[in-house]
Amino acid sequence: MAAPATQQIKIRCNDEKEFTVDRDVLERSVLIKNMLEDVTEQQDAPIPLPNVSGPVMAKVLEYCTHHRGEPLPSADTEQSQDETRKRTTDISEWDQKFITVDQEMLFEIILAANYLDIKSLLDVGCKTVANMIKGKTPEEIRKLFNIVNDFTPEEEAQIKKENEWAEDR
Amino acid sequence: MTQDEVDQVSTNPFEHPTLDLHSIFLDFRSSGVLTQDTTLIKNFLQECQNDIGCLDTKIKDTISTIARLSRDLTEASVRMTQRASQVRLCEHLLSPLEHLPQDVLEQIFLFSLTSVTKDTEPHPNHAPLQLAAVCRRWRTIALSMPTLWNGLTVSSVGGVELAKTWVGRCYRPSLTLHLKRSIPPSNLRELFAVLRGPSLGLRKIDVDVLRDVVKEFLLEYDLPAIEELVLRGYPDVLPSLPPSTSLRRLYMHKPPASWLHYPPPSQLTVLWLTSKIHWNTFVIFLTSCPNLESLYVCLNEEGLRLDPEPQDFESRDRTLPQLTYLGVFWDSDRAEEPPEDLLRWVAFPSLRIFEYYHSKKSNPGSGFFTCYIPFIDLHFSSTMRLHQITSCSCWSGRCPSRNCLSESSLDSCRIS
Repeated sequence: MAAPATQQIKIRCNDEKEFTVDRDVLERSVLIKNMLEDVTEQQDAPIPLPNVSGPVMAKVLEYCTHHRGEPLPSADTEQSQDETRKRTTDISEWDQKFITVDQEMLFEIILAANYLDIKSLLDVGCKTVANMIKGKTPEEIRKLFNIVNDFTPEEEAQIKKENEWAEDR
Repeated sequence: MTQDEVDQVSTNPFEHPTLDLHSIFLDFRSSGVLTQDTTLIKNFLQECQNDIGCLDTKIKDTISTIARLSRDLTEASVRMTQRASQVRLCEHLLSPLEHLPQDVLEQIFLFSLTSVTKDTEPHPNHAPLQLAAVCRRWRTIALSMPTLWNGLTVSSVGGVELAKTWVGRCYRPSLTLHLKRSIPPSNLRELFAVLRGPSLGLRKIDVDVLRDVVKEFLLEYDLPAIEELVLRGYPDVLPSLPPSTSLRRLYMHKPPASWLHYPPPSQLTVLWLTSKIHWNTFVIFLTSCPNLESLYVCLNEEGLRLDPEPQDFESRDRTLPQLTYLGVFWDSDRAEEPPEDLLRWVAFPSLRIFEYYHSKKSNPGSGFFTCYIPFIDLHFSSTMRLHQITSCSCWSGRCPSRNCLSESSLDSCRIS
């Protein structure tokens, strides 16, 4: 007997780009999973995703397809991870290659993962940014991410004072 | 032309294309008679005065041009600086990072903290200090996250200032403190004064500083929130501490017999001990720790001393129902294996991870860790209830636990 065909779901991005994807791949997103669970009847209309563009969704789907079938983190495990702070910034080889994109795309993926509620992808993105920050001076971080130094002279003096001890070493 | 060259030219008045002004001058000085036609000299005077007039105008024009160009340069520089800052502002506004919600930025901050070695003192270029110095938004978020400031390692003179910063920002009952031996003793008391601040509870203390100062500090300090205590070489301190109901994890080096009275053992979940353990007493102590999940013991011959068995030893319930990790480091050349006693006397029905190290003193550097095969064989097949163990690490090329794989549900066997 042939295996039952996997249900295909249509989604539509904010640039009208549409994707037809296997349900189990899409269900890596808790947002979409909940949407699908709320819909009792089969619907042909695509699920609108107003906060994600086509190119970003293509990347997200690449990630979800690669990780399909893996267990989703439960709320309990997330909480215990947070509590024990047993977090590492290690990223698997495939994920590392996947997330090697330009800065704009990196942050778009993070925003999409956050919106779609894909915890593992959000972690990969956040770890990548954390690794970019690692060991850099505040000025180097500002340059890297185009952040304006908006401290007042008083605040600058306070920060300098906080770090004065380091100059003695 | 340089100013020196200009001065040299201006101080040489004798240069003239047709008149020998120098000879005329010398004759005039010596005889007082002007040998040349005065008309020629008058014409030359007029020519010089005219030229001065022209040059004066030219110099004034040039100065004016320079002033105008200088103004233009200043204006352009100001405008360029303004434009550059406007570009930065626009890039900042368009920066994808700026569009991340606060909770995502907090996740990034937490991950950036984990990349920092917990065993080293904070550094301005590492989280969390680095994060609080980038911009106002980052600083506000970093300072609103007590978890970023809940761990502090102090090893230098600057520790007092560091402690002040951390104490002000950590979630009060959650500071984890690691004091290293390299702190100058003169700074320790000042440091302790900061840490004794009102309502500050230490959650974890890992002290490796001068013994007397530590003892004084720990005995004076109220430890209502302490969950983890790491004492490196202060065996006499612990029994003097007031019992703490929050203590869950205890790491002790060379504990004296009296340590068994502290803390109430039933609350411990992690116990890490090295050396000089009175074995029978220890086993009895262990069986008073029903919530123990992780046990690590490091022994040498001194640890072999066996007390007389208490009368009720056999009748006691010697089960550690929660224990999932057991690590044993046996540092000796002796053939006897004290862990054998441990495994004979105590049952671990929930054991999942077993790590065993055997270091032979007589053979340092050569096969540093060797595994005692009969011990492993014997106990894996009996008291250890091998079918429940999912991970086993034996640092020996001769470890027989590979055999266990075929007769159990062992998932992994690491041999190095």
